[in-house]
Amino acid sequence: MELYQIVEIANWLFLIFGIVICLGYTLAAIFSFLEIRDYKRRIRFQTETPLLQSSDLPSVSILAPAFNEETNVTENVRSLLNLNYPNFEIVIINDGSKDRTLEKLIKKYDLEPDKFYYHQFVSTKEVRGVYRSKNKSFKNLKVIDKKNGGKADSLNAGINCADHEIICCIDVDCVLQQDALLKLIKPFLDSEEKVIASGGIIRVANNCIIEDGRLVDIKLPDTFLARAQIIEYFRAFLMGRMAWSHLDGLLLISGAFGMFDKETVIEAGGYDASTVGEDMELLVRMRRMMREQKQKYRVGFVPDPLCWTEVPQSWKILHRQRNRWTRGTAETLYIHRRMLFNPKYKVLGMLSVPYWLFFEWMAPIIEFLGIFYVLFLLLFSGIDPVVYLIFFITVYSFAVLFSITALFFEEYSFQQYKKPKYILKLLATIIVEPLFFHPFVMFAAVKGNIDLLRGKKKWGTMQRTGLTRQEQSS
Amino acid sequence: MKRILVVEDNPMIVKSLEFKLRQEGYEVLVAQDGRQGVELMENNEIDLLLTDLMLPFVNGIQLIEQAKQKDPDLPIIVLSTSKQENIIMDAFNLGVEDFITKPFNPNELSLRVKRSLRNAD
Amino acid sequence: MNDYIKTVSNGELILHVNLFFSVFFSLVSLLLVGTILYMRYRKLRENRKIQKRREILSDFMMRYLFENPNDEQAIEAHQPQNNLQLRTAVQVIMEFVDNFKGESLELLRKLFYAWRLQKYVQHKLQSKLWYDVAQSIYISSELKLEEMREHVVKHTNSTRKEIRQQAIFYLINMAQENPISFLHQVDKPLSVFEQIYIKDCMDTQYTGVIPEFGEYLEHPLESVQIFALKMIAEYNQFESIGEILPFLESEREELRIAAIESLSKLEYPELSERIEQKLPSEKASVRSHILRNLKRKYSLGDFQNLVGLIPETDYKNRVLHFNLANSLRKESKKLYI
Repeated sequence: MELYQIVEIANWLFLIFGIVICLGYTLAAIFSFLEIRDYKRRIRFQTETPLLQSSDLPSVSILAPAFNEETNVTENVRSLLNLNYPNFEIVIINDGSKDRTLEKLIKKYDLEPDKFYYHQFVSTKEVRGVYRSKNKSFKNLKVIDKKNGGKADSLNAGINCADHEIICCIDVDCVLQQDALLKLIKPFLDSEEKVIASGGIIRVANNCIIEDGRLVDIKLPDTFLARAQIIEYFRAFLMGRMAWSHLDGLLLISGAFGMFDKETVIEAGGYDASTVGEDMELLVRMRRMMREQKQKYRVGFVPDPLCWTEVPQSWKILHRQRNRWTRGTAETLYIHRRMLFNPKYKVLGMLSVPYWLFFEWMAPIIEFLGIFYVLFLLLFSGIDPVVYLIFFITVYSFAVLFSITALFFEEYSFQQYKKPKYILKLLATIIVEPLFFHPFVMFAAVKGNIDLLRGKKKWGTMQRTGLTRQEQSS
Repeated sequence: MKRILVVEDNPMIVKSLEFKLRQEGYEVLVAQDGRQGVELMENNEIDLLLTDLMLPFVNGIQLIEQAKQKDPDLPIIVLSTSKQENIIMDAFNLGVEDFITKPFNPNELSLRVKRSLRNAD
Repeated sequence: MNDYIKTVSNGELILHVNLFFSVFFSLVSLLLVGTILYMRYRKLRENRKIQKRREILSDFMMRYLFENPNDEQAIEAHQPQNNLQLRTAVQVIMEFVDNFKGESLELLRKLFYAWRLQKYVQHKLQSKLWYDVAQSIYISSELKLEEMREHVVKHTNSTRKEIRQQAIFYLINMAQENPISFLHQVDKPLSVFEQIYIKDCMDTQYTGVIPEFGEYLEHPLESVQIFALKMIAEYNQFESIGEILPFLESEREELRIAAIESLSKLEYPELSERIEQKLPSEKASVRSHILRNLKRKYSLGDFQNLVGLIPETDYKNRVLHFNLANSLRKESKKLYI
């Protein structure tokens, strides 16, 4: 076969891949738009106040693993204690911190060891103790001290200790809206079928003014990296998750903030500590189990920004995070490979899993190969560079269009970045992002796959710079 | 002239209370969150505290505790959405005079304020 | 430059396709950017207008409520003139309504009628758009507009969930007696949220006689039956215990569970014997409720014997296992980690 024939075929293959992505994103845009529009209309008259007064509302156990969080943990707990919800408990799991996380909690909240039969239902690393407060104001706080085992292991320990039927798994340093629990429990109450999990929209907290665990002012981050991630989160939440929720094919509820039906989680076996993508893996397993048991169920998604989290601001940490995400995705897809194109699993098997396989996991690899391919052609074929320029411009303009659509949805729905200059800065970020941010993330993903093949298992540590605090007056 | 401190984060309620109480001849100080409430309480002599329980930064219970520390005889009226008995009990155990649930009747609230101030004298 | 153009125009189809798409994407991008900037600008302007209007209205309304409710001139002067003003007026009134009750609420209703806002609401109630209908029902419900009843009742079984909910809330908010008689007409399942709302209404707003929930045990909808079972227990309607008993043998496990919980709350003395008998043969989910209710009554030893009645295979049932451990945990404070 002649070179030009190979080139021709490869070109058409890349084009088909591209067209499928385009169509997919267009559909995602349409579905997401419909969901946002409906939600906006609904909140005009639906109020959660009767729920607040009701003792019939299901009680919630908030589970928050903590590792080396001594700087902020007491403040984070304080903001959790102030959440608006009639009946809930907070379970902090100290995952064998090497710093003074536990001591600070004990001191601040007047904790004493609780003599309490702890049933290791889901097996975890050794639990050294459970603490409760002597002070009545903090009677709904529990702290578990255990040997280090990772996030999944800690959450399982939390599940073993949780008193209530609904568990809410969060990252301890996330800032939650005061009515976050009220909003996130709604799908559990409002559906005709059993709801096994619900999630919401996660926002980027970097550079926002947070006082006493409360979001006071939303500001745009200074760094390009954080801003690029804001755009990414817009794309992922305002277009991705919403569309999937519309189709009932949601495979991932963010580990930063998600609510689950505890009994279903236990029936499914709890979190899998052997994978780094434990949040996705659990939901997939839960959905799969319900499907296999032929039970009707739903996964809820609340199109409301309920949780704010800090994103990596250094390239190194970002690389580690994306590397881990890729390994997690690959591991989950491999564990549940039987679902791929399996009609028994309906939307999950025929749409969601294939999508994650080809467009989330495989896409970075294909892009990576594509770059090599182009370089190869540039060097060895006689084709005019202008041709590549045109291809490049097509891909680039599509990427920009997709991000701008996400920004448009944000403008249509929440407009959380109030100052007009923020919009201009975000537009500037959108123009630069496909050139600098995206290739980096893609490379991290490819490296993630390589690392996975080489057997890397660690999480890596995230350096917390601490969310911006305003100067406290005395 | 008696001075009342109103601590409430709902702007509509705050404005209405301020208007109504001023009209009835009281001097009214206003705070929209717990922290501001504590500050105003520390820096001023007040004759009555009217507060919500769900407040930003410093919640109502903590505010009430601090108020009682500063002046154990200070009449305190709680204005809250909660109808849960245990919360109402907690409030009364702290020494609160009266507990009004939202939505409330402004005229009735005004009567209770008058009564509490009278009892305190 | 000319060379490039030549290359392109002589290029193959795929090149042209790509070029077309580039241009298309770029144009749509620019269009969206324009829309975003326009939306932002318009939002800012509109918000400023609305804010101003709201300030004026709320200032007036405070004077109206607390100073002089009879100032005809002022009422007339603030009459909403256009659509935006109508919307804002309704919004501001609703905010006051949310927070106040008693004489102030009455005054707010008077003002609502004085400004002829009921026409506006009625118009929206007959709209083809579901969110207008739902919102109008909500407003009618909060302001207790009796004259909208015939329009609202039509929507009790609407296929649109939001409309149906608001219609149900309206009916129960407005009821002076027989607050849940509308349930007889309901043919769509009653969600937990609706059940909570109805109960909350009966506890707070409703001043009439609490109905006998026993009559709803025969309702064709399972969700209504479960609701009735729960409410009988909530309101201690012991006379209905006899009607609950058959539900212990119901075909549907949710009904069996609801019956057990209800009888437990009513402290029916023979409950323990009856459900203990069923323990070996019942389904796993029902068993956990049975055990949960029995552990309150039994000593630890007796309870452990009970557990022995469960067939071996069921220990594999993780949920049951967990509930057992939980029960043991609460009983024996002597066991340490």
